[in-house]
Amino acid sequence: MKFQIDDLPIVFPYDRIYPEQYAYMCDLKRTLDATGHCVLEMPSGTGKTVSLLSLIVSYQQFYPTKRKLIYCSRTVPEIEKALAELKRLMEYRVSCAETEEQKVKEQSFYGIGLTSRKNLCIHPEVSKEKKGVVVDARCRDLTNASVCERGRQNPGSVELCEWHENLGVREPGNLIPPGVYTLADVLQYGRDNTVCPYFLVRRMMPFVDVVIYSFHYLLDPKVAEQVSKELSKDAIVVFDEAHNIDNVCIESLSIDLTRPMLDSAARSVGRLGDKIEEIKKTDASKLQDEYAKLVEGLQEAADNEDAFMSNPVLPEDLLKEAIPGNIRKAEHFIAFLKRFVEYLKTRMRVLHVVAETPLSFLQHLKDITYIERRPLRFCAERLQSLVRTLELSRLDEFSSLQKVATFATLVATYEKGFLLILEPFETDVATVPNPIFHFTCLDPSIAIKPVFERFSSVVITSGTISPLDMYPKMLQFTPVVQESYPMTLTRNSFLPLVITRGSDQVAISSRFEVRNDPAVVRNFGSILVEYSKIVPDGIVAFFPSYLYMESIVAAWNDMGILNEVWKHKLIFVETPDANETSIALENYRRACDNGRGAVLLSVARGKVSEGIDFDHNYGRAVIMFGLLIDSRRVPYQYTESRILKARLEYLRDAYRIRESEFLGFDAMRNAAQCVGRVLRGKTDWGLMVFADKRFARADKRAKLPRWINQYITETASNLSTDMAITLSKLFMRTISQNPNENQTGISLWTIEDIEKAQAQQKAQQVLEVEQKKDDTMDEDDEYGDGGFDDEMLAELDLDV
Amino acid sequence: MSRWLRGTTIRKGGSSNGSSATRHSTPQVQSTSTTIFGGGVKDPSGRTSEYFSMDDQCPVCKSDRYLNPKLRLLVSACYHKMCESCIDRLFTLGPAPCPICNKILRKLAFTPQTFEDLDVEKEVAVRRRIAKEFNKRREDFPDLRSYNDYLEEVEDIAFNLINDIDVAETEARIAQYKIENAAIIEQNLQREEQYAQYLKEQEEADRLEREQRAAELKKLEEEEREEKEKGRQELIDKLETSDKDVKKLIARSRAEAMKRAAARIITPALRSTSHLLRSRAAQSTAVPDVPHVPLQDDWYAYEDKFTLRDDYDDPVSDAVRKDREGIMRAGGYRVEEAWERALRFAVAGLDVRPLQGLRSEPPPASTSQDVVMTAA
Repeated sequence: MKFQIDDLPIVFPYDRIYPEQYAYMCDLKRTLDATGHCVLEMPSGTGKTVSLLSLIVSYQQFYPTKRKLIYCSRTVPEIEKALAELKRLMEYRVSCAETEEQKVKEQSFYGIGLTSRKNLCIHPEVSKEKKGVVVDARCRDLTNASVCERGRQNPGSVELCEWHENLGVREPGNLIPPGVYTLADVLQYGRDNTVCPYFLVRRMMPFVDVVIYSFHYLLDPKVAEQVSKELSKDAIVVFDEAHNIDNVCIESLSIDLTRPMLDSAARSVGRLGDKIEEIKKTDASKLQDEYAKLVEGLQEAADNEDAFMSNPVLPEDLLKEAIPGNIRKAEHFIAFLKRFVEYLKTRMRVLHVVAETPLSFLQHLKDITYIERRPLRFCAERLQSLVRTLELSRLDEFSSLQKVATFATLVATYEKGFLLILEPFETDVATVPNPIFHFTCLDPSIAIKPVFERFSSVVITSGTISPLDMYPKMLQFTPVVQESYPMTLTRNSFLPLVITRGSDQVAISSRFEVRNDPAVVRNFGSILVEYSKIVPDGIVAFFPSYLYMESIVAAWNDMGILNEVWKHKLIFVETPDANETSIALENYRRACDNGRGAVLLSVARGKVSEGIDFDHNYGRAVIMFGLLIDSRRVPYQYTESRILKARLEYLRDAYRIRESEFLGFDAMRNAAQCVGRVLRGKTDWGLMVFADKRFARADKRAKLPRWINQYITETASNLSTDMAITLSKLFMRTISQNPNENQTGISLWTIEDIEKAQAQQKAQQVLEVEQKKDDTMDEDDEYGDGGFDDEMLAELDLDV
Repeated sequence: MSRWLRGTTIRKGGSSNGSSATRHSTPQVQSTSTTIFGGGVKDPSGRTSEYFSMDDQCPVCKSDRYLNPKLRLLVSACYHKMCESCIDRLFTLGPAPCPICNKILRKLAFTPQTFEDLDVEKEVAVRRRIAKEFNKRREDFPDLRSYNDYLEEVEDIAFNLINDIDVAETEARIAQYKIENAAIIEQNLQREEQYAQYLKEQEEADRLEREQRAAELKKLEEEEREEKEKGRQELIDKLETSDKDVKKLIARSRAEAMKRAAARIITPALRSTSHLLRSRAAQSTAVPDVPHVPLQDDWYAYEDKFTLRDDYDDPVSDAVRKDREGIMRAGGYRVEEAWERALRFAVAGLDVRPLQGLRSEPPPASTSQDVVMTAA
């Protein structure tokens, strides 16, 4: 289907379009025209990815600027899915191109996806390695610049990767014929033509139109420096499934050090020292060269492709500065590292919790070991230079040292927004110390700031990112458009219910005071029993934490509730162990498929709640048992709570976001994410049961996404179990009717519907504008400002 | 509410009444000789503790932790470890040779071990010494390059001392440097102190600010709650008394609550107090306490405010002045000093301008008017 938004022709690969998809595209175009950022929330399963890609590709192909699209997703399957979507879109575009010229243009479109070496390696031996780090290290051994040089000068002297070598023969920028390649396609192409898929993708990055990769390649400064350096400023950046983006930002700048890591780092330092001694005897000139370079203050301009690690600091001025004199010589640097590692070990011996700011850490470090801040800052960079000079192999064994160096650089670079927390014991009751030194980032805006600064358009989108204004506040940016779309449905395909009390009228809540009250536990149990009786196929139940789930399931067992549920459905439980959980999931699916029906008990912040879809018969009802608001009282993990507390305090101090506000927001976005798991499309249907008194409160409910919130009626927001059951039965009876009515026109638009809507919109606009001036709807755009008219500009001014 | 964040340390399982007495107690083995063996890395903050391992063994008497759980090893000046009882046994009667390397040691020179690696222990000791003298900063150099060169030189010296390379020559270098840069060393020492002071003040200010803000927020929340409570009460009262439409009343009260919430968001002007606090802290650090250097003292004695004449009409001292033999004067007594003192005190007290426009010739003795008198 082809249609126009303003002057932009859009090619959409399906015959019908949802109204919210159309609205989404309009807003997206507005953002791109204004070269600003936006936050968009669209219900899950309504074709977010395809509308995004279809609009942006149309935009790229129509305007001569050809802004590159950087599409970030969370997991490899999601990346693959997006690539497949893009491929389909491009095929459709080619097939409906009108002129020959246009066809060529569409065919010369490049789209690729990047993932780790682990997933893209086709070297017969290296690809067999199980761990990602090992694959990385072995790949570097075969492909780094110095090895390649030696290998080329006298073939056979060192082992090289044939696939990587073949790549060098080809003309850069033309390594692969144009087109869209999924990860599987790239692998196949690599096998057929004996070229390395990983480096093929890496080297093609500057030349392609669409890059799809994971969040980390852009957010984690350690990786971003290597991978995303060359991307141009006017690129369009999209973060999909971005509801957890603040946590990703924080994780990318946080480092945890443990005793074994420090021991391993100390060993690595020793080995580096030995290596230096050895090299001094055999090839002293190498070290001399490096030294001379460092004295001159020259930064190595070598290609970063094979860099073992990269500098995690971003300030440009710092990178241009010369390495401080006291770590210029290799042996000095080794002594320096040794001292630093020893110092950290000393800190690990303390048996009480210590929390301190980076400044006070630096001061203490200086008092004790006479390490200044400046050399510490260059630690990561210096280590990288040394490693390159020594031409070390099997770098994965140095990963702990690398982490320590990164830690050093980060701690010396950032003063604000970070906290060091030493926790000597894993839990409150443990007696054997297992110290962890957390370097935690408290401010998500630090990691994402460079992205907002560098790229003019950043799109943050997900199925559940309400309340929308929290994200701009936390990430410190000003969006041009901030929109949440309702879901247009011809009939209610899902029913949200808030159960606040049991059949015996006792209020239910997972509040700390009452959570272990037998009455509450029994009421939770009776909800599960009742629903397992009436709901077909799969039910997913979420608990606020593993601990709470364990205690409740134990109590249910004693009360005979589990036996009751077993009569109707099988019960599966999520555990912190990934393998166990995946087996449970597999069997759950099987039970749902063969009609036996099953219940999956899982945890709101676990793996299941984040990445696994329960579409159609896999999830006909989702039940939220309780609400995780106060994580200080309900520790998911002992350590987490302390860091979370620090983060809350920081948010309050820096951005004036209250603790209760943030916790409420976090709990609700989690709840929304959980219940959103069951509804993955418009043909899907399901029940959403919120079982906690606190969900009834208007301020909590307001934080749910608009598309869920619009269907919570006043009556359904304060129910007892029996009332809820009655409503659910009623709902299922109506949903099982044959949907005779045609969705087209209401929740599914054809091209005529779009035109009708546009005409209506235009008429309205004209009506508004008439008072001010005669006609602004002139199709041609005199000023060439990207096709938005004065009316829009005026609106934008108001928005900003 | 968050004691563990404010202070730097808390005890494990910090109960609410974490008294400061328990703060620094680390579970190291308490020994009678802690008072005798000082030294080592001094760390009042309690962020490090003595090195301690389960398989410690005294190399002299071979007793280990299994036999003696209270075993405590200390490090000698030659960086050899031995246990407390061995030290007591060997060195109580005065300096004696080290049982391992035969260097003469004293009991007082034994220090607790901070780092696991004894080489680092030694290195830190050397660096402590060097850092006292080689304390130039970036500001003392014209460009970055020369600063970096200097840093490298210092590192070389430290490296030589640590690894015992050309010790004599290195010592000579240090001595020479010390002589050449005495002034800068002194100055930088002061700067360092200032910086430490500044840091401390900054931390204190931050802490205060945070506390204040927390209090502010708490107050705000309290007010908010009260308001809500009041609003609800009002609504109930209204519903009870008035006979208007219930829905309208509820809607109105909701709207009012919304308005109040909106107003609340704008109010955080309270913040200014914390800003004030911060700026005050900044000011206090901006004017550092200048140390008193006696030889460069610029004591002001009001010399410019008066001129001492040769002669005054002073009946009191007449007799003394006329006494040529010095019978009435003690050794060193000069009448002029008495006059000068009187003048200085007078000027200092009044803070009058220097006498400029006055006649320079001495007034006729008959008038007997003193300068000071006119001024007064």
